Amino acid sequence: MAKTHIVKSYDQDLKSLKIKILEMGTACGHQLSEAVKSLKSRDHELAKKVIADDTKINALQYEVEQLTINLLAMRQPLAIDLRSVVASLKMASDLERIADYAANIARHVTELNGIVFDDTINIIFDMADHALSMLKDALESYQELNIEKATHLWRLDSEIDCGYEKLIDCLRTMMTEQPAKIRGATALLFIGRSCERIGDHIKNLAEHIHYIVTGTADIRDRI
Amino acid sequence: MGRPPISGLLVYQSRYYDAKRENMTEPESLKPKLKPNADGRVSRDNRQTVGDQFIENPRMTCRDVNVYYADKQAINNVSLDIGSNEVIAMIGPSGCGKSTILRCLNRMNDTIETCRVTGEITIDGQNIYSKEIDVVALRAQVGIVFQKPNPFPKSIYENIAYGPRIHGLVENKTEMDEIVETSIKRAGLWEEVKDRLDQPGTGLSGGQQQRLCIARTIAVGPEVILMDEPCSALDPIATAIIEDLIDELRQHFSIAIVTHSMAQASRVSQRTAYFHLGDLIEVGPTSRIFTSPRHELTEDYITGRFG
Repeated sequence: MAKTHIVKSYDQDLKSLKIKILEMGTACGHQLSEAVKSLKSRDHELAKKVIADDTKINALQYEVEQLTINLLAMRQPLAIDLRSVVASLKMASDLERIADYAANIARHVTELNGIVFDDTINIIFDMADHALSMLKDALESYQELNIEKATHLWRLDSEIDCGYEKLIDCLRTMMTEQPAKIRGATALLFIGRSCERIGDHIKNLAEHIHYIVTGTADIRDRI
Repeated sequence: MGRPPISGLLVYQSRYYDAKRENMTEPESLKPKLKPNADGRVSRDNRQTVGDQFIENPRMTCRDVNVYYADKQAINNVSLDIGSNEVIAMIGPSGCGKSTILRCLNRMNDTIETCRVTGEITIDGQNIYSKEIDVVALRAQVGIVFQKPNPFPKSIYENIAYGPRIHGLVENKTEMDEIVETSIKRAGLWEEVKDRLDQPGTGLSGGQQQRLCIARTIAVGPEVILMDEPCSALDPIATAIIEDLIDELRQHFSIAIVTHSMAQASRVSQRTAYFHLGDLIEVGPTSRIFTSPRHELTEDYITGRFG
């Protein structure tokens, strides 16, 4: 919506909320990429930092909640403004969950010890890379309110789901054939599960963006 | 020229009636579907009505209504149904024609010399601009409540009794007492005034006066009640009482309300019609209009953007 409000400070309030969501989204992306980095390099110190930094995301979520509650109370937003404010609140909650899963990934890094997983772990790296690029797209489409981009990334989630299924198959075989690796494999399973859930939350982000623009969150309508 | 105290009680000649009939246009056939933008909204350049302007079992209908004040056209081809037992809110910026269309519904515009109406407006299937229509009876059938409370400078009792008396609705004092009591009760004012019915109506507070005016409208047995910004002169408490009353009255009457307060439109109405420079832009369920309007002009207005 190119038009501006007659009351200019209202635009400023909405802009502040948008910037806060983008800030939170960027911070979540950072948490996820650091978690994956700690997984790749088995860097326990980095993993601990990711776990500790989760509180920063929670603080950002609290700030978003305060901004939205103030906007609702002070401006009584309607139509696209109402949809933006309500969707922002929900997006903050999805982003907070994404960061939680990033911290979960970091938590399991310490359990992998020196176990070598051959190609199996690459499936997780692919899933995580995919999730990171989807998150980036989600933030871009939110910034531009671009529903084409949102719809596209909404569909991409199925690739993460496929990766997850592949991962489970590989891990089953591994646990059957190499019982010594069961502890590590279980950790990998949890990590894979976290990536899969992150994909679902990014899918939610796409639905919220779709809702802001069109008034309906049902992207399937567009297929 | 001051506003008449109550529409149903004053006689106006419909001098312009013949001119209106001659100018009547052919009803528009099915309008082409509007092509929405990528985001599903209709662009600002479009002036055709979007949404649900027609409903099943309407109490009143407007078809291709045009209104002119001398040479200036105030309403462009508006078609809209007013439902039974519903509140329809008419919103839009000043000069959009919402009050004009409201006043057409009981021919209040007959009082304006230069005003000319074309098209068809019906109540229960009958054209209200036809020659057979008795305007006095019409205005009892379609009552109106104005922005500023305007009780007669008479007692509370007489304010209510005047209408039924001149319309010959009562035969004796007992019947009159009953109609006065029922009307004031329906307007939610009884407890506050029952012990001082002989006191002047003008001595009541603004909110009470407005409810007295609503009681006065109800007393002549209307089907439709028109309200032209009925709360704009009232404080939030009196406004809430009137809004609660509107909700009660909906059980018995059809109500069309013009309001500048979008919060009020969203609180009291089930349907909302948005007007813009004499065009009816969008009509729909109030909840949809305020969460996800289909026309960009509606969205601009209700979100407070430059229009």
